[in-house]
Amino acid sequence: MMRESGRFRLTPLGLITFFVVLMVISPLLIIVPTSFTSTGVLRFPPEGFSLQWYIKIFDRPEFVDSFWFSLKLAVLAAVIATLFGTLAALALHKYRPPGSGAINALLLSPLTVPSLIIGISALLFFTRIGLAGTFTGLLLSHILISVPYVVRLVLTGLSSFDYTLERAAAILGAHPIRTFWDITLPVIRPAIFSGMVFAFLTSFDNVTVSLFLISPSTTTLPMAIFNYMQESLTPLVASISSIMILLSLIFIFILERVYGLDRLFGSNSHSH
Amino acid sequence: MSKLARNKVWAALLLLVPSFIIIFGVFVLPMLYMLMISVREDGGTGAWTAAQYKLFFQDPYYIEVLWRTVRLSLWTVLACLILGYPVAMYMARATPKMRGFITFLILSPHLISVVIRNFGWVVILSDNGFINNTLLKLGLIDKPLRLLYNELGVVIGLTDSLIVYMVLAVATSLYAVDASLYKAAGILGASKARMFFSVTLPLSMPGIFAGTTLVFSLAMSAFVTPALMGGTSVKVMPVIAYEKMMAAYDWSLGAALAFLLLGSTLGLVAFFTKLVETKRHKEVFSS
Amino acid sequence: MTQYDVELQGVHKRFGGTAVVDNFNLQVERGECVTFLGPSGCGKTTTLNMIAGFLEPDGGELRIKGKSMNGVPANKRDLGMVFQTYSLFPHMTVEENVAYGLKLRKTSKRDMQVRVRKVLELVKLPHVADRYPKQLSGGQRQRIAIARALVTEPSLLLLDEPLSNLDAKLREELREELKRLQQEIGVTTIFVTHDQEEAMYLSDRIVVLDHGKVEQIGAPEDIYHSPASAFVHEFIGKSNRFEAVVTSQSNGMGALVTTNGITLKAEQHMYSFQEGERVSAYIRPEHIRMAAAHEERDAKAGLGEDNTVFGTVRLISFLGSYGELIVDVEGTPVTVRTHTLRRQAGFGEGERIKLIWDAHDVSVFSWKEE
Repeated sequence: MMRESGRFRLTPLGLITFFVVLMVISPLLIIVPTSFTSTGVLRFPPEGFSLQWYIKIFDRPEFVDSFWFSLKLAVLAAVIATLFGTLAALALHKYRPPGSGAINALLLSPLTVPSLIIGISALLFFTRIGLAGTFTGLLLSHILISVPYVVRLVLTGLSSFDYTLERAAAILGAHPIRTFWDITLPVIRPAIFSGMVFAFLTSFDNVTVSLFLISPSTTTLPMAIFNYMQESLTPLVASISSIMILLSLIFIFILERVYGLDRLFGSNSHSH
Repeated sequence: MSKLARNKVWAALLLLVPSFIIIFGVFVLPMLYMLMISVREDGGTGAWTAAQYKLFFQDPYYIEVLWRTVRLSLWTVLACLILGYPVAMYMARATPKMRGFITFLILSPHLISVVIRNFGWVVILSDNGFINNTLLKLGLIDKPLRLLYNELGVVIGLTDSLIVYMVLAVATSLYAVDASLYKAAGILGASKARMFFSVTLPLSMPGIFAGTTLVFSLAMSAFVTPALMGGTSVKVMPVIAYEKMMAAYDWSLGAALAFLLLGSTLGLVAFFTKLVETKRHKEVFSS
Repeated sequence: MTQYDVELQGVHKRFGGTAVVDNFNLQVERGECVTFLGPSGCGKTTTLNMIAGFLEPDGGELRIKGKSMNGVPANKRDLGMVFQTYSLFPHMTVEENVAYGLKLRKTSKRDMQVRVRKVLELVKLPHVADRYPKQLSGGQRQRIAIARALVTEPSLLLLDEPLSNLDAKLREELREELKRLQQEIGVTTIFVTHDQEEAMYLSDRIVVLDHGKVEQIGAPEDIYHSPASAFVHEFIGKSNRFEAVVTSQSNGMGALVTTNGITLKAEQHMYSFQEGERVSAYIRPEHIRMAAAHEERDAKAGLGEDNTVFGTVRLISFLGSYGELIVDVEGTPVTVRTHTLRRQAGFGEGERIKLIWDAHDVSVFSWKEE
């Protein structure tokens, strides 16, 4: 029963696993070929082959503009969230202030509340203080939803950090700031970097918070697709989605390389 | 407290300030403000009132929406459990390398926007989508099956995006089960079915519990999938909250709906926790 | 006036309510290797951390090379240190690890290369300069850690249980290596360990610690042969312990009666006992001689100061260079070590034999609760 195998085995369990994996991946597998259709009908398998739906993206400035907007937003949100989250994680792990359990819970609390509710409350509050519909308001809320991931990832990275490395550097004559720069930072860099990539994807893919905070001049790409999809379903959505899938795949690949995706989610599949 | 220890606390606070500003300014304060708006007149400054909450519970339409939201979430939990448990079992018995590979496969789509994944499902499930096309061509049906823009479509979409939580939660609890337990049960002569019900299942209860509460909470508050795959007929709490906020501009009701959603989710999770935490369960897993 | 390399005067440190280090006094001369030895929680690591500058003493004076270290941070103390967990920087090559201390001291590139090469040759690992710590074995890592600590020619070398993460064979190998390096370079060394064999092998002097208190400071031979307290006697080497009452005492000689009725003769050494006092008497297993029960006379008999008891052999173990017997003497198990284990008639398990030891070899201390 506990026989281990490195290869996929065709058992009932294996079959269900295969089916579930297929189910999770198939929506993405189907979009890409659909985008190359030569007709105007969205169907799979697609008919003919053409790049017309990729060229047509450029006829819709709202997609091009929102892409650049999303990119700008996600990069800014990721950089700021990484900076803030890393500092917070360091504070918690290195100095262990009184009540660090509660502080940790507070830092992760945005994850425990549905993002829809975060969006609604942000809209209400931002309207009151004059940030609704502004880029700043949107950016702040994206930083908020990204910070917990950074904190969690950097804390995971720090949990295996050996503080005697800092002592070793100190004994050799390094000032604490120099020690942080030469030793601590390079050693936990993969965790910080993964936190940043994850923060980027969190912001780049977000709909439920953006929903309440965008304005006609500040629309993100997922929001643009969401709105477009509610009006019409054409292969144009497929071509735009394919580009986003490609982009995300690049990031997923980087994440897997740098950190390992399962570690990212706190699963301990490598521990046995 | 020594000088060194005091310095450490100050250093920690200094490093925490930026995150605290974000959490308080964009999360804690807005939540409190939203609470005010939902229970006071004139945008949170007037007299105290429970009118919004009364309105909700007196209107059968809203009750119907809440019940639909709960019902769809429960179906989603069930689907995730039935499909996800065997995957977790398979992973628990596979080599670490295989585990990593499956984890990668079911996690990576998760890093692509839910809008796009739902769009993929539309292509698969719509009237002239992949499934209907195939079945029509094979002559198994003569008119397309309705797989989308109904409750079934929403459950399929939610199961797709949430099953990963169930799989990982259960798998993690199964990894912790000592392999020698199976051997012991095997030596004692337990059959495979017996082994499942007397060893695997009881020991994976914490995982099932964690996965169930997580999937349920996330399904309750899902907005994009019901909006894109449920069409106009399948209205759930998040969708009507959005409509009240952004179409009707009834912010007091919108705020109340947000809290009702949060409250009903937490309440049901708490109820479920109570239900599951029998004495024996507590004794075994409380440590 | 002699200037000591390290001087501790009344150093103490408390954690919470308990004194972890209590009134520590020590002077270490140039080139000396001094070991802090004791069970875990005895304060040896805390003391080392205070010398290193990772902890501030609550009181007392700590001087290195005559300079007071009050308020001087670790990075300004000019020390070398080797840690239990190697603590090599994982993102740097061996060469970069070793050169790090020199880089901080703004050594010229040429000088740096020469010194790194030299110290790597000293630890016999010049060929791994370009590797990362991950690619080295445990023993190699610790050698590199030693090289990194020595390259800056520190005024003092601190070793924090550097061998305890290695397996037995490597530990012995590296122990020899450390002794060679210490003698070759002549660097003043403070070594912390819980392993008494390591301590005796490496040190000029040993400081035995228990519950934050210094129990004894002395050369390894003195510590072993003339332990200053019951704790030291029990902690260092193996001892047989008897609970006894002093029945008579004169001219540095005493007669004791153990709780199970054996009469012992003992010389007075470190502790002067009084008549009627309750005491603990210790005798080392290798100081006990064996004779067949019927042999009337022991070879050494006639000195007149011998202790002779009868017992039954319960267990015989062969341990390579020596053999060990557990002999039941009136209900008390007594361990005997002998280099000539005689598996012959009269000495088998279950047989009755005679045990003999000199009164000189019995150490007596004030009675101490188990």
